[in-house]
Amino acid sequence: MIHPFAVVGLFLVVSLIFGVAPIALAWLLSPKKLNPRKQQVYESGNPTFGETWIEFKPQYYLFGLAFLAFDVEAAFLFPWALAYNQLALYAVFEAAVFLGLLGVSLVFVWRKGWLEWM
Amino acid sequence: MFAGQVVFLIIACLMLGAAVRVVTSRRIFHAALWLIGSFFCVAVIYMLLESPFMAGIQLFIYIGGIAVLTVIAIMVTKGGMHPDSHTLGNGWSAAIVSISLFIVMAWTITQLGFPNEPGMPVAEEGLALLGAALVDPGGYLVPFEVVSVMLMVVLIGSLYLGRER
Amino acid sequence: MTGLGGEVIRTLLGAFAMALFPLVVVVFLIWEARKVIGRMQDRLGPTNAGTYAGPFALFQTVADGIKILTKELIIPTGADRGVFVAAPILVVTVAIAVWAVIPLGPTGLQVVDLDIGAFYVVAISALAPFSMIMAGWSSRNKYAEVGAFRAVSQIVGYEIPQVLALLIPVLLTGSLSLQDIIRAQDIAFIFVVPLAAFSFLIACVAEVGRLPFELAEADSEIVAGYFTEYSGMMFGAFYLGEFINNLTVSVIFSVLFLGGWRGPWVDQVPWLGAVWLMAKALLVFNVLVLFWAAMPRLRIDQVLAFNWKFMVPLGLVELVTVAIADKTMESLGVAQGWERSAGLLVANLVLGLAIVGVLSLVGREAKRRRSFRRPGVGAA
Repeated sequence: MIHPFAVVGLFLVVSLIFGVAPIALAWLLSPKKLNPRKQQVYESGNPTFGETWIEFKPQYYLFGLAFLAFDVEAAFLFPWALAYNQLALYAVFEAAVFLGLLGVSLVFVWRKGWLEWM
Repeated sequence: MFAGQVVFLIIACLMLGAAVRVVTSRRIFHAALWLIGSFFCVAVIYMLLESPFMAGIQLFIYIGGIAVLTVIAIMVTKGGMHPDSHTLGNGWSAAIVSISLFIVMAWTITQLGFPNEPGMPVAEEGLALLGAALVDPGGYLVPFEVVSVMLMVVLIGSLYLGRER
Repeated sequence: MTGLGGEVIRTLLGAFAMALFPLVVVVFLIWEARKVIGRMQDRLGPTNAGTYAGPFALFQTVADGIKILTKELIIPTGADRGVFVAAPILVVTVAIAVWAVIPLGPTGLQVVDLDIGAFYVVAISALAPFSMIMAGWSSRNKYAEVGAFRAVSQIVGYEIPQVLALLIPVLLTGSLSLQDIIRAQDIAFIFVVPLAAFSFLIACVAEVGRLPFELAEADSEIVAGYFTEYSGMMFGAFYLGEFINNLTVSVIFSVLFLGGWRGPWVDQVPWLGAVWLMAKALLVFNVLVLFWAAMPRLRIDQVLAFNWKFMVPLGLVELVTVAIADKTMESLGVAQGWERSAGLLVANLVLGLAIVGVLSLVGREAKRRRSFRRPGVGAA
């Protein structure tokens, strides 16, 4: 009997093979006639100008932080959802408070207008 | 058991290699990618310790959350995306700090009495037990709710800093 | 030792078969999607006119696949070569890796029935945004970078309503194993918690970036988004990965809310389960295709606002409502069978009506405000 986690590991290796294989095959089969014009970065037919690795709006980062808060919360909820059948009603209310606090703070930032995309 | 040890050795080497690359990469974006590789190896080690939920958390929070955030932070920082912008300003002091940290942690780990009998019995419904303990007033109810308050602070605080001024 | 060796070989063969399965199905799904969209747009879609591509051009995708294998792989100058090549590999790997826990049938037709199957799906999917970030960053192309940013903020955001909706079947079942979740569905969960199914479906559409959430690869704005610079099979890998993801979310939706492989005669003929599951998944997939054919594209601010101001609150409220309603019924003595399901359905419908009510009030308010403002703007 192989351990289930070993099977998962094997499957990950197999899926990596399936990821590499088509590109390796294409690399073997495809023509290799490169020239500088072919390798230009596409910019609607114009030569590229300016800096490409530019910085973006910090707002993306803030939404990322907001996501992280909910992400951690969701991670805590998985064991709770598993134990749900054995819990009493008050335990469910405790989890509701847990969720509610984040929900209230979401509503708070929403009312303040901090969720608007600028 | 032997196969497990071999896999552990391979994964540990990969993890350390990735961690070294995090420090030595010239491009900070590469450092972030190596960090993800290192996180993934940690997840595999959790799997080897028969703790799939921790492995999932490692992927879900560390890779899906924190690493994404790290990459976004790099991409929104002025000059952060620039190639070769990663300069080690003061390598020696960083080395001293990290080596002393390592010594402290290694000493702490050796002082702890870890149970060393192989194949610790794992509770059948381990995760459900954890879930029940989280909302049990005699268990971890207070930390559980404090986590929620902390996440609330994170949410409000981050969006407060980014508000339109 | 030979027993173990044989077992390893059998497991490997099973893993290969399971990894091949989505690829084979996807070949026909691409054909089907093109046909349906063609018909929606008053075209024929692929036909076998000229060259022979089988009846109804069934093997058109195979021909396309062979063609794309012979196309040159171009890496643009200035690109970060290692990361550039790794991105399409990661896309396909992650898309296939999810299939380790997907149950095609009651027994045997699954690589491994993990105790935390549903969490495994979520955790592995967490790797998906990185292929997009890597592709967008390494291309050193402005369109690619814009696409990567849009993709990440969208995918990351919609993960939350997806997970919140996924928690509801877990909570009703008391298990994260996908087999247990299917076995618990004497009544398919879509009829028990329709709101959760709804928000899971919408979140899935956003996760796989189908219209109306297609803005990461909006071809009329940013060429092809994060994979603008890719050619040949590396482009093909992104295309393939995208369709595998579409199939995967359809299958996961079927498993969580439509009863998975359950159907008539599965007890006698186990492999029939795969047929039922695929039929259900095809149904869900066609919903995605119809969205694709009929919907306009949203803007990034609309996508994020829809997530944070509708999907996340809905997910939170739905989770709390289901949990409390179910426990209340249990303490009243209604814990089992169809009575529990009916009670949850009623709770869901009441919640749904309340949400529609609130939305219509908000909409009316917004309309009123707009009509106040408009004449002033027009006069100025």
